Amino acid sequence: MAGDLLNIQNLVIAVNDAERPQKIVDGVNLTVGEQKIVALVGGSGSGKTTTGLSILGLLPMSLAVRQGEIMFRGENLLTASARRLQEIRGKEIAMVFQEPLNAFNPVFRIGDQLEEVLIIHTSLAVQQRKARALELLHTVGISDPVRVARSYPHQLSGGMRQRAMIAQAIAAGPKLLIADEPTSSLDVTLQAHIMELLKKLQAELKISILLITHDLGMVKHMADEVAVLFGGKVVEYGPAEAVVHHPQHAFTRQLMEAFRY
Amino acid sequence: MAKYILKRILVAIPLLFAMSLLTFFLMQMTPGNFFDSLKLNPQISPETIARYEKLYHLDKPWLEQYFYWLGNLLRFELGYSFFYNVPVAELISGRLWNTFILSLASLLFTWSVALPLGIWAAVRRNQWVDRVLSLGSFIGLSIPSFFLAILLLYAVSQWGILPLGGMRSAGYDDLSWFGKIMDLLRHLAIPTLVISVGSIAALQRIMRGNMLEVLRQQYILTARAKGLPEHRVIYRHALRNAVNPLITLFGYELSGLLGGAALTEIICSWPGLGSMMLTAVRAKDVYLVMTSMLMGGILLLLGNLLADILLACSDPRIRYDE
Amino acid sequence: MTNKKSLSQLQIAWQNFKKNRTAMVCVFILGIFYGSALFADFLSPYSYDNEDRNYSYCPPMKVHWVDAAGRFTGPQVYGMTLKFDEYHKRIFVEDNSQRFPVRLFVQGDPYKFLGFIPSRTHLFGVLGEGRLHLLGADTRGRDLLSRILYGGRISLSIGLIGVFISFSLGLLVGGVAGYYGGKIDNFLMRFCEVFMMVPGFYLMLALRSAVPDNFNSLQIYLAVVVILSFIGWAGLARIIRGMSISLKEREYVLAAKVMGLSDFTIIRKHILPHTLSYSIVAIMLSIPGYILGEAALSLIGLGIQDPTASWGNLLSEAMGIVPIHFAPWILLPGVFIFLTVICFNVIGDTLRDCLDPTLKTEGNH
Repeated sequence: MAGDLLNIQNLVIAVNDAERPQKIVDGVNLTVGEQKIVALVGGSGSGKTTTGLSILGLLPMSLAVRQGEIMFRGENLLTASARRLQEIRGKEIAMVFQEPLNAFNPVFRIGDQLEEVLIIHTSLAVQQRKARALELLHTVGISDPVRVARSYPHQLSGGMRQRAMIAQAIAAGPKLLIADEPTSSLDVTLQAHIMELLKKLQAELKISILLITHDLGMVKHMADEVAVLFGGKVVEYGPAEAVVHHPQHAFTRQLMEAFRY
Repeated sequence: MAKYILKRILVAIPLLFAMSLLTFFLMQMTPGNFFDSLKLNPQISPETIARYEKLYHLDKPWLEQYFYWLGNLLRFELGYSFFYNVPVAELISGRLWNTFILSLASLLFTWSVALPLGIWAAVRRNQWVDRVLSLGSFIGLSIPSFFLAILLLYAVSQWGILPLGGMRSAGYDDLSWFGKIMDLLRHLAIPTLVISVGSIAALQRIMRGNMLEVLRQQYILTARAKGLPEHRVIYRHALRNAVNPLITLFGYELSGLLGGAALTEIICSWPGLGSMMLTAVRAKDVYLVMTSMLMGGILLLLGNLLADILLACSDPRIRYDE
Repeated sequence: MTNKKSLSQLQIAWQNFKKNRTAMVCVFILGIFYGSALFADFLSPYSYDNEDRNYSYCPPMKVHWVDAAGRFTGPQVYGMTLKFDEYHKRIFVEDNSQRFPVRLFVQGDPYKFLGFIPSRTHLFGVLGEGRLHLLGADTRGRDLLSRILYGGRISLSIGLIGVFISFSLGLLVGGVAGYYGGKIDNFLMRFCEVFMMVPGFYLMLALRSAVPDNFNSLQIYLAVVVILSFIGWAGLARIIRGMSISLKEREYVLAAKVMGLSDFTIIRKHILPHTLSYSIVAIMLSIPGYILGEAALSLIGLGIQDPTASWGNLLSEAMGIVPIHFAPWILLPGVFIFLTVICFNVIGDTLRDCLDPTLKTEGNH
């Protein structure tokens, strides 16, 4: 379809074990349109993170894609060369992960890690890079970008780190942001802030977001469309309003029920 | 961090004293009055003997003798070697230097071979490279160093490309400075290789383990997701973290080398501290033995101290937490 | 649903261990080595000091089963005579005219079986005046195979006895230090550190120099064992102490205390048994150190003295380049040391993997 940024067709991912090739993802179809926020929800083990990782070709060695296509702007990512994938990662599609301390490299400063994206994907000069890094940190709501840029990851709070990670992700101006459980390790107030930040960025930078989450609050608040993943298959898919308030599938109904206390 | 270092040094000093006491005690257990046999030796003048008898207060109980020896030690009066017929101080510095050269060469060789091999094995995990290296490591760890030394000397004796021991060739003094360096390297080759094999085997396994551990981490996934080329992911992000735990090892290895090199020195006729120790022991050259042992202990301590300092420096998590 | 007996941790580990073929092969090899050490005098054709200068540096001899005409004659060896080849190098040549049969259960050098039963029967040997050197002979014409078998007694037993002494010391010191903690712990650990601070080899040499020159071979053997134990115990004590500390906090120790058991009993009955599994691994992996230590000492002439054989002093003959060049078979004792060390390492490693798979350095992916 025109206007589609990302189009996943019939994706099957299985364990790399010849004896028992267990399917983690079993025939997933998903579309992310331009400037849309699509939520991919499901319980743990439903395959949502695996789907997210497969888009950028970041599956662990124990898993492999068996079937399917992932079309990004007309290009099939699954058949792209390693070089092409590297070009795309960070520059056209970026990913933000759940925030344990280890998401940033502990021995490099935040600023340096941010600038790394700029070094690889842009041709900015040193001073420009530094300025841009500070600018990015400011954009994600960090009030003291100079101090944060000079800090090591362990010196920042969880919320700051997550903001910095988002800054790192949007640094090269990607069109699609994959956010894998971006707030699951933060406390409730921070969750709200990060959600607001993502919404703001989406509107300002005109990007699409694939939001992988099990938090239905986020879904209700942010998503344009929702895909519900259960046992490796998409069991329900449609506009957020419809899925949340008028769920068709039994599992979706259970999910929504559980959340309605 | 200066406080940390100071504390470590303070702890080390009483240990050194204890060790010197132990050494002295052992020497006292050497049967027979050492000086009696010396008096029979026509090469040593009566004046020298009288001087040293007075210096070491040999008529007093051994504990007192120890304190006198210690006092002399602190004034750098290291005693007299009866076998070589010169004061110990003259001998020690030369031999110490030679052992140090050998240790340094082994250290450099070990690390420049083991680290790349470890990285290679980790990146090609479970493929044939990894399996071959794993087997090689196991053999390297198990082979007795003296056996390897003898085998190598045998091989060299058949093919004649390297000298068969010692540190300098006969015509050393006539060589240009470049020639001298080449000569040194050729003599270093076998002992260095023998000493390094075990260390390379161990270090390679550790490096591989560390790399595998690091490559599992979240930040490696982030680095790849950023679009970094693979070589940058491995050699900048992964390596820097994998090497961290090895820094302490570096110091310990230095101190371990100094002791472990002794046997290889002896077999390859390398004129270092270890081979001197052997000659001293065979000749029951008391003060030489004791000073050598003390030297060995000091070097070990310095190595450990270096390891602790390096650890404190390298990891920003430790550095910035004070 | 099968009814599984609940297995103790050790039993599970042992079962896993048995499945590992490499490890079991190593156990088998060590069994052969130790077995032949035990029965060395019976298995070897000659005593360790039986020399014949005519056969100095004799190469390994072939056992012939057919004579020159192809007729089957049973196993026999030919006499070896010394000749010079065209380069004036001395070589041994078989002399067809002298044939000596090789038989089983021959009478040879006298010995005491298992230490007290006098006997002269050897497993195999040569009848008549001939000599049988399956692995060659050394500079004095002594049979290398025999000397390797006898040497195994010394080298292999030193490993076991040395570890036993070190370990007992280490258990005592480490167990007490860890259990009591505080000042006792501090003092004992500083004491250990002094020992660990001197480079092992230097300490070994220094201790050796304190041994009088007129010791006979048995006394030297004991002295070497004591010296080796002296170096190794401190490290073991540290490990035991660490384990002891973590164990004393556990509930069953508290319960024992409440019941009024004496400290010593608690250490003996509760703490030490649980350190058993890791102790076994530590022991397996440190035995090679003792074997190598003895070999190193003997190699440089400070250990077991001639004519008593140990694998170490057998190798000392190989230190001169000339012998190796013409008689490479004298390197064989080194191969035996090597194999023994590998076997202990494999067994120790495998045991450790079986007892605690989480200790492996393999990443999950």
